Amino acid sequence: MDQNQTSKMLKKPLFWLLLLLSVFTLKGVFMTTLLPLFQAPDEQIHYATVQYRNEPKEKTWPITELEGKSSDSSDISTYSLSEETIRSAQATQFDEVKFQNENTQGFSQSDTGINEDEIIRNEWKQYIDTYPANASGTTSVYYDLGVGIERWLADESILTRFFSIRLLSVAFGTIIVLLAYLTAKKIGFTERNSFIIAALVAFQPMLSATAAQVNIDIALVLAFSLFIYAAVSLLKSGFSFRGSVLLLFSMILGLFSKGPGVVLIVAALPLIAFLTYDRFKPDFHRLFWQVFLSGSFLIASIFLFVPQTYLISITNLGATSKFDSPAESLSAYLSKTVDIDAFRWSALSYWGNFGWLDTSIGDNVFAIIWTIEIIALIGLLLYLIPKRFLTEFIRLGRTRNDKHWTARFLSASWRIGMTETKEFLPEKKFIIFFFLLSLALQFAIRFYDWRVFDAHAKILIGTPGRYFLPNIVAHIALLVTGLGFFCRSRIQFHWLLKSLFVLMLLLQLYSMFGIILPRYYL
Amino acid sequence: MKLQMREKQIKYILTVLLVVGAVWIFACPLFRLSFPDSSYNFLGKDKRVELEPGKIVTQVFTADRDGLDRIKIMIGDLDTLGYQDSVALALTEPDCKTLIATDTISFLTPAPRIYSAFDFDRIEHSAGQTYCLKISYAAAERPKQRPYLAASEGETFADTAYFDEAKDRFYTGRSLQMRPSYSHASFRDDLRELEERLSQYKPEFMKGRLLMLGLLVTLTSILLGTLAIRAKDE
Repeated sequence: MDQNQTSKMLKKPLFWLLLLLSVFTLKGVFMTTLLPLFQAPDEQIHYATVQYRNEPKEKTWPITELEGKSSDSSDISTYSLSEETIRSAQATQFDEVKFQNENTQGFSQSDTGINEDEIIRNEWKQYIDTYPANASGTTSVYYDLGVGIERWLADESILTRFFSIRLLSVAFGTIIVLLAYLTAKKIGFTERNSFIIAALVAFQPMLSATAAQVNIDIALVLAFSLFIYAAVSLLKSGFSFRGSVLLLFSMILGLFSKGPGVVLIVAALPLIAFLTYDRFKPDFHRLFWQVFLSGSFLIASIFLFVPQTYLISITNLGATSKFDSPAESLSAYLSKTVDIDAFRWSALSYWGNFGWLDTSIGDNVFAIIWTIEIIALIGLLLYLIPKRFLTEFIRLGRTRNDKHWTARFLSASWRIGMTETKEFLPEKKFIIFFFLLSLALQFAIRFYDWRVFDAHAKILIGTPGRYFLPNIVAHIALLVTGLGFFCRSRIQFHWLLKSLFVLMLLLQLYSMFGIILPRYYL
Repeated sequence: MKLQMREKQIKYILTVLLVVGAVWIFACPLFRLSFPDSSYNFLGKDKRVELEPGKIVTQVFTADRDGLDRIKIMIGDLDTLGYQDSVALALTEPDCKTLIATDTISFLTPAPRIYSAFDFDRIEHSAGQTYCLKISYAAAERPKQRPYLAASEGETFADTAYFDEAKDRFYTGRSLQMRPSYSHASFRDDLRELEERLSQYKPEFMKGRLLMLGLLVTLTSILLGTLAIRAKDE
């Protein structure tokens, strides 16, 4: 291939996209092998759920009902899972390694684990015979696809079946990266910048880890990413058949992925109201009634068509409160969760806390990430504040004798950021939409966490960062926009993106070779 | 012209950062491979051995394999070390007197990920030999917040005890949370063992290819990054 052909190829967006997706897939396959069997949050339950759903409806084996049975989270043998799941976990020292980063599996002096022969003999029962089963009750498309793999590889060992289901997550991740690229392009980034934004998503370490383990979160991330793409398509060009179908499909996918998928339905309502307003420009009075009526219609439809048990389960409304009043419960919950340590923990596990959240990136590395995020947030807020308000605020600050520090700060930021127009950044309507979607997910997750706290008077679920991953495409777009505010030109912004990409790529490699590998193997 | 020059410089800096950084990150764990004794899993009751200035804590242990070259030890609150303070580690003969190797942890030592690593020259014939690990703490004064050693009671892997000079007492049935670690005489054998560890409990089609896959991931990531750095925004 001569230089001309190479240069032509490098100009083709398809080449870049295929290259990125190939590297992501390759990295995903490697990541699936890095975490030992069941060493990701609730992986044993997710896998057991796949097995459970693969069972015939009519059970042909005796079932033992255990009255008042409770499971001990530090002993897998107390769970009602298949014999194969329990004994494979025990054979790989699941309870010793989980949550205990000072421990590893016992290694032999060959490529066959100490108890591996016992596992691959395939002699253990692959069905649950003690009830109530500890399988998940969530309806998820991920489980359905997992069942397909489980059935397809029925004659293979649990190791082959389990790691093949992990590869299913890689496939989900690849589609998410593709959607990140399409979304970035849709909101106005150039071809090359869109590629880099998709690469930032692809190399975000926690997304990579989630896309390499057996879990239903990855299906929810896919549903959100599709929703975001459909929503920005509609926001850009107005109502279209294709965009509307995609939006509807993403909402259905969200509902059949994981509980927080319901956020997509809530988020769709103001989006549709805005699109209606944008298209028909009705007067305010009419708009109010339109929103009110369509909102009532949607809520009524939910109550009519969605099973009540589902609504109760996602809101945990059936549980009895341990508090005297909702206000007391909420106040106790907020005092436990609204502090810098809690936010730090969520943020750390959003960026890189692997395995059973016992294998995190270093504090210094996290401090760099946090700093970049704070700068981006400032940039984002300044970008969103209408120019005239900001100018007026600075003018008022300057006229005061003491020159208030906020005015001085804004003035300095203004000088850095607003010397030229920001035609290289997305329109504000997209940014506001991303912001609102992020807030909606935050609210939904914290609401459910509070409902569970209300019933037990202690934090049982918490807010680990991976719960916020569904918004990753929106988050990365917000991050680069916030940082982009401080760029004076298109070229500066392009170099900023390239620098971020290099940092993200190094963060990903560091997570794999500097954190996960030594934790489990050295 | 000036802008082009600056762009060229940035391109160069980013490429160097990417290539050097990626190679460094990939090579770092391979650079000094040592394989901890995986039978040392701490499942018993957690204990703390508070370090006292000028006092020593010792534990005698038996090496399982040849090539002892590292001891991984859990030391907590190392961030409390003042600029004049230090924790000294020593490997000695079983009499706890004849020195084999020493190392010092000061406030400048990077914070450990999980265990602190006490590295020393590889001991060729260590299998079945007994050694003594000595830990001492030096501080100008006795601060309230100071480093401690993590210990564990009731472990099945070793019939061990440690001696705490500050308490003048042997704690039988307890072990410091430490892991003797071994390497091979050749780098090639070290890589082979790492590949074996990675391959255990993995499907047959993945076994034996994981290090190569890791290398491929690193190289393709570098390629992707380098091409992205060189590409112009249209």
